[in-house]
Amino acid sequence: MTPRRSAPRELTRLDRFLLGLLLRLFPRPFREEYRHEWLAFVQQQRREPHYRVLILGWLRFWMDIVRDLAASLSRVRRDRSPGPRSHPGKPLRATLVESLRQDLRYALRTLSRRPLFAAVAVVTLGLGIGAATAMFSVVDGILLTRRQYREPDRLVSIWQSIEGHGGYTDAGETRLDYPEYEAIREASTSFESVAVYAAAWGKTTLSGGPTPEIVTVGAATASLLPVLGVTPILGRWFLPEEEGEQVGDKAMVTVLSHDTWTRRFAGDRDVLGRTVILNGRSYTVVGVLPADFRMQWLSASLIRADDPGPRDFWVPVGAPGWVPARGSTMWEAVGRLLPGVTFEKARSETSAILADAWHWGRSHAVLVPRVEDEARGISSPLFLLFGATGLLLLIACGNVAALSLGEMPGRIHEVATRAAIGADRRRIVRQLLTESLVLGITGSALGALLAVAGTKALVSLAPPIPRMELVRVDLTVLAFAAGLGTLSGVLFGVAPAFLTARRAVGTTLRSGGRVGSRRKAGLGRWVLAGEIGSTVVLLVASGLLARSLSHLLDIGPGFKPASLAEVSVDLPVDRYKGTRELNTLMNEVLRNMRSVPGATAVSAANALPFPGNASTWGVRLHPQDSTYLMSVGYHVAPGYLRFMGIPILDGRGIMASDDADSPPVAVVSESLAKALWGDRSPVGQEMTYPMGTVTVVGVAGDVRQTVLQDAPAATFYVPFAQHARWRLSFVVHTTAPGGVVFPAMRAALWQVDNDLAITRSGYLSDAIKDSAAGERYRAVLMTVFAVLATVLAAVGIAGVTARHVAHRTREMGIRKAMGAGDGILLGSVVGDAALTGVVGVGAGLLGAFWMRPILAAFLFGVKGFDVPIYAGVAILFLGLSTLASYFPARRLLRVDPVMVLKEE
Amino acid sequence: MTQTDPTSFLPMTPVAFHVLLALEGGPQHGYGIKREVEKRTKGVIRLGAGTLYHALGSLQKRGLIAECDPPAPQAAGSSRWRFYEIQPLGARVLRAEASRLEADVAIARSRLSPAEGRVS
Repeated sequence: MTPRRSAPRELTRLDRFLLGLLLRLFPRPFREEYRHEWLAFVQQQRREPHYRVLILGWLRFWMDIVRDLAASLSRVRRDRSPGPRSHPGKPLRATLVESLRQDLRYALRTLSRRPLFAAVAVVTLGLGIGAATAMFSVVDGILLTRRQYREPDRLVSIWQSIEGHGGYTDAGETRLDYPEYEAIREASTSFESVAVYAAAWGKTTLSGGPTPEIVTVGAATASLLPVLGVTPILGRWFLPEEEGEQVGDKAMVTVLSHDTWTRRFAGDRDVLGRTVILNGRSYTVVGVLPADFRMQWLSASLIRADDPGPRDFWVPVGAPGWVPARGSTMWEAVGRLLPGVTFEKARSETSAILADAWHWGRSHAVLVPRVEDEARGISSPLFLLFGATGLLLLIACGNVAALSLGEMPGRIHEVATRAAIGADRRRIVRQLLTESLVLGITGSALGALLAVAGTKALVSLAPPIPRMELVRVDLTVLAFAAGLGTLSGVLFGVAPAFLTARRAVGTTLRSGGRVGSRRKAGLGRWVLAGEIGSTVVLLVASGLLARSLSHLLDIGPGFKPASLAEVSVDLPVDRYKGTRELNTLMNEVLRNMRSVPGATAVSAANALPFPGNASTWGVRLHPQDSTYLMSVGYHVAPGYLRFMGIPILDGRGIMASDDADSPPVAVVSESLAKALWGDRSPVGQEMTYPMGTVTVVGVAGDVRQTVLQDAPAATFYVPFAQHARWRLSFVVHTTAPGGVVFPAMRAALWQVDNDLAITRSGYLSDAIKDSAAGERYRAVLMTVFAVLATVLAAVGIAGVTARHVAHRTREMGIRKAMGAGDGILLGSVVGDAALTGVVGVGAGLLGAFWMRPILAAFLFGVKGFDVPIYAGVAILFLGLSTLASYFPARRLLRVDPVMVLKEE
Repeated sequence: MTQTDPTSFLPMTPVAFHVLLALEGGPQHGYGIKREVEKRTKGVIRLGAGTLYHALGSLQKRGLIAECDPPAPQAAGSSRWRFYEIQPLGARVLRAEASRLEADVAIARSRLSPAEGRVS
């Protein structure tokens, strides 16, 4: 936001906006005369060295502006209206606007007389509003903004659930294969139109530049944009005749993402018709997508796999590498329901179509509203954090309310004076409320500034969440901040305003405002207790999340990921027809990979744990069994288990001798062995999975698959040489720097086949860490919020106690004069604060206990009720409230009883 | 123009007095006046925009100062500012106010007993 170095500061857009508002307080003639001069003056003033220190300088600047405003407004207005208004004593019927202006001026004046209170209140509110606003901008950007789709309510994702086949999502859904999509398109009467796209595993090389760059490519049908109701900002989308397998030199077309257009083509409008080389083929650019087009591979984000984000290039279905094939369930589908068609009808009809189309299992359709689908797994953590910031804001409001209540005894006299010269109670309440509104709105201005910085931090720290890059502070977010400011102004202002007005109107001036200060102190204490309670809830939540995270990271994945570098590819079915070709490719690449710098060992498999993108199969003891066990199947190179550090518990691993000519074998995981054979050794036994019957030759240790918190799935390993798949992950054990290793691994790969698209590359240890990124993000943010809340609560306790002490000076002086020791006096004040602490902590612990079900979904290895955390937070807080009151209370020791008695 | 009695403008507000004093050195724009006044009073009088322009407005209305063209050498960088110069009447009022203050100070000095530091 603001640069760190001590350069002269300039007015921000927000400053200008606020200044423009303040300028309106001046009468029109003055405004019209001096508007430009005034602004130029203020702009120049902002540059003064006096205001350079980051936030402090900004506060100082605004304090001076407000002070000048309060001083000059009355003069300017007095000049303007010399009429009957200036006669005192005569109640005048001012217009509402006029009296509002008066209230505002009065508020500015009284606040500038109490700069410490005003500053603490504004900073407190600013923190609360800033946190809530930053979090809101994330929620707004990711969950609430759905501008890009036309009538999003009619859009649904179409998944299928295949019996005996695991899925990609938590609910077990699988994508469609192309013939299934065609069947739905032809037969369905529920959809206006249907589209499929494959957006994930398509990193490809863009050549034509000096070195090939890796870009991401997605493929889609011509119907995708019409279904979504999106139009390109430049050119056009694909035509139906551009779909289908491309033969010979037929020109191929591509559509650019907005990002690609602006970064690679500098936003040049002449980009249409230009040629780009993708994987050695030329494509003609025919269109550019809107900036907010974010078609993502939902299945990838749902299994938390590495998703490269929005595609750089889109090509039509059928382009090389995207040839539709039966059984290749790579297509995510989205359909637009016909008006009036119910969800249930569309679901049952699609299920019937899929049942006919699927060739080796029973499948039924799963429809999910598109908007909901895109937010799956994302919304509840975001709302948890958003709720936490809401609590933080409440704490901030409580703080300011408690401070305002503390100010009350001191203000009763002032307000009583106003009442004595004729102000009625309503007017007084309004004036006091205006004051808190001014604080609230100033707080929201500061909050908006903090939110700009906070949002940037939230986005840069975030785990990969689709649309995160769209999050920014826009007008909606600023309006939210302003709304929060107003709301909190009313929230913390109402009680003190009414109380003060009631006291003041019924109070004689002579009593010096000492009446009733005890009761207000009481109310302040209640507010404080509530504040402490909310803070305790946040602290407990952050403690639980942190403990859960550490539990999670303590879990071993079941293999040794250190120094393992991975590069994965998808293999085109048209060029690699079967196991023999695929196995040859694997062996050639593995041979090349041995020369990667620092390589001590190499291996390969069709998939790797983390992301755990292996297929799931139904495994049975005998082919005729009706029940089966869902198991993850890995197709691995010889020596894979030893390479990965997965222990062999019984029998042997997969060996080079297990080739296409030898009998099919498998190694099973401990959990699979236990499930199928109990305590008997499975070695030598047979089992059946959809690709055939295999003999078990060994038992390996269990391995976690996609996330650390899930129990290891039943797993089996078969030789790639016997059953190959069209996907390979090569792993090299090396301690050489990544900057050397990955280019060498890619080169080793492309030496064998230059057209292979790399889908992933990275370290396995990072992949494991990333699998807990969401948990880490939650724990870190919750801790930040809890710490902020604790600081606010401490400020509140100290502030309220200080006020309390100040107003009890007289009582304390008398007690001292009558022989009470310092200890007793100190004890009585600190005891009050500690009592508040006890009440607050008790309420907070109850609240946290009551909120267990909300948190439980985010916890791993920790119960919602964790005694050490509850106890720790309670002790921490009781200590804190005692300490925070002890220091202000020490002022009592300096009270001179003689002075007090003299005053009496 | 008839000769206006400068004493009819007295006493002046401290802000108006210092603004006139600042313009005595030559034409100046609003921000320049602020800096001049701050320098001269060693920061005791800090002028905000509202206060200053209110003072400038009322001084102008009463004919003590007037707007003028920006002085040539500064024109390039500071053309957006309005410049003000002191009028003959303003200069006379300034002198009159200065002597009034002088007289007041003299009275105060003679009446204040340095030992007690209190006005009798």
